[in-house]
Amino acid sequence: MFQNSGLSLNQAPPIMVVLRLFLIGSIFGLVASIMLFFWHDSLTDISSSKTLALTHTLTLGLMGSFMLGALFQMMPVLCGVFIKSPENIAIRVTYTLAIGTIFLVTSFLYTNTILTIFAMIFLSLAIFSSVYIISKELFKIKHSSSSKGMLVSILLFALAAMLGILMLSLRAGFEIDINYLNLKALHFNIALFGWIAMLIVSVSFQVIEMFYVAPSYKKIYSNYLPISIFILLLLYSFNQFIPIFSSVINIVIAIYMFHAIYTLINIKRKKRPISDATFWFWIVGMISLSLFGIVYILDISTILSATLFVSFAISILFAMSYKIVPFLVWFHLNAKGYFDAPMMYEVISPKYAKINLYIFIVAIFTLIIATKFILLYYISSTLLLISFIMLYLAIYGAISKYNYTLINGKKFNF
Amino acid sequence: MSIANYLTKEHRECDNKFAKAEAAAAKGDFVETKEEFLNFADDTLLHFKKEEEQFFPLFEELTGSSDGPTMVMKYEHEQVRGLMGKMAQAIESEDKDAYLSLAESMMILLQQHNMKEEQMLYAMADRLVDNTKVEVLISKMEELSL
Ligand SMILES: [Fe+2]
Ligand SMILES: [Fe+2]
Repeated sequence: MFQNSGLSLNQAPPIMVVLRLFLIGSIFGLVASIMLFFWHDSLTDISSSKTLALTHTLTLGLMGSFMLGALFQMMPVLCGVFIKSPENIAIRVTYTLAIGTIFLVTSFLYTNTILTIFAMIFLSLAIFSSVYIISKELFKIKHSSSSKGMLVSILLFALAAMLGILMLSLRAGFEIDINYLNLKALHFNIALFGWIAMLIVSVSFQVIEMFYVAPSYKKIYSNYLPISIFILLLLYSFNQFIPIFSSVINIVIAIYMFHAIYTLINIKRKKRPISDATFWFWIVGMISLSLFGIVYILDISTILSATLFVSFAISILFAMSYKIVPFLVWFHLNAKGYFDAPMMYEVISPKYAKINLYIFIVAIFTLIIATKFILLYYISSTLLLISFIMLYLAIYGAISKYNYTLINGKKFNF
Repeated sequence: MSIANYLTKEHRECDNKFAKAEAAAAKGDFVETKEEFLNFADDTLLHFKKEEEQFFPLFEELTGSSDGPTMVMKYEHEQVRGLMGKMAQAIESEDKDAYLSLAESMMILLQQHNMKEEQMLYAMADRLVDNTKVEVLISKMEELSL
């Protein structure tokens, strides 16, 4: 049994597998902020080519890279699953995803069949190969609530990608008899609530308890949540034939809202005394998610609900990065026997993370107000840009410190 | 009681003691930090001893391998012991930043270790071992001391 689970001494994936994905992801975050600066007036039209370019830079380029990085990192810990030769696979996935995203974004901006076809090829390669590798391992194991959630989210990621590729083939001129608007709504809802939100929820099942020594979620809740979301989203996907099913999406969002509040309660009851930046990033993320639920269900404003969802996803991304990156650098050097391995605080100082947190909070705050006072977009996008530059520099600095110690560090020889 | 219940409960108790030591360090009270840290260290080391002397051998018997998961777990115990040494140094030199930084690494290291044990080793052992044997194992673990 353990032969399959591959628990071994070097079960942690090579550090660069994760850091490379994070580094490239943060560049997409930076690019998205610049797009927001120049194109914010196109955002009111959710089908405009600029809106599509921006949303896919965010979801595929930024979130996609970070989430795959987190999956590669966490699977061995959470599920005892070791991906064979992760270095090669990860390099391939990292670059094909980035290139595919660039093709996709440019194909939105300059409607061009060749660009569209290239986007389809690269994104299919990146997404389906990573989904295959990850889900193949996840199917083998005995499940925790976290790994169930990961499996659901990775399968729905594949579904969202298939729907996206179907739409791209329509754009590329293939004739398929299908309701485009319906397809689009399905693609969008599966991607946001099946893949992104689901993965974040499954991660929270583990890390809230683990990083902050907080109470765990009730077993009955965490065990059945992933499968419930999966079933609800499948029901929702039949809404073209059974119209009543289109309201199922509201149930899904209500569940996520509940999760956000539950998480806030749990994390506030943490036993560890320190409230570092990552703790507050979780708080901001979960408050955003609960507000998103209210705005979405009451149908207050599309742009506002989109803003809140983005705020939710990016907050958690920062929360995870500022914890995982310094830990990985310390952990890998320590495990290699360097006794002068930099400590976590030396890799990224808590003050630096706090400054990034404050800038990010103001960015989000102004971004929310900007939905009413358009001019504020210049300020909020600049602050968002600074947040991503800080994140990029933090990850880049961590990699440099890692490499420096590899060359100059003092080492025990086992 | 199952093996998982017994050993998981110890993980949680260690977490609580760890958090107390950290709270004291955050206040800058190194007398209290030392006291709470020693509580944490004693409990954790005793827990490791129970695993290494009683639970792992049983597990190795069940799976027929001694260079699999238990070897990884023992290796991680060594990492934790090393880190404990560094934390003790930070307490001696009353270096708050160093202590809190090491505490951060310790927590993640220990948590991911515990998670692997709880979700794989303990769970698997409970499935394979019958009740009477579990009773014997737990009473043997109870007899151990540092
Ligand atoms: Fe252990
Ligand atoms: Fe243990």
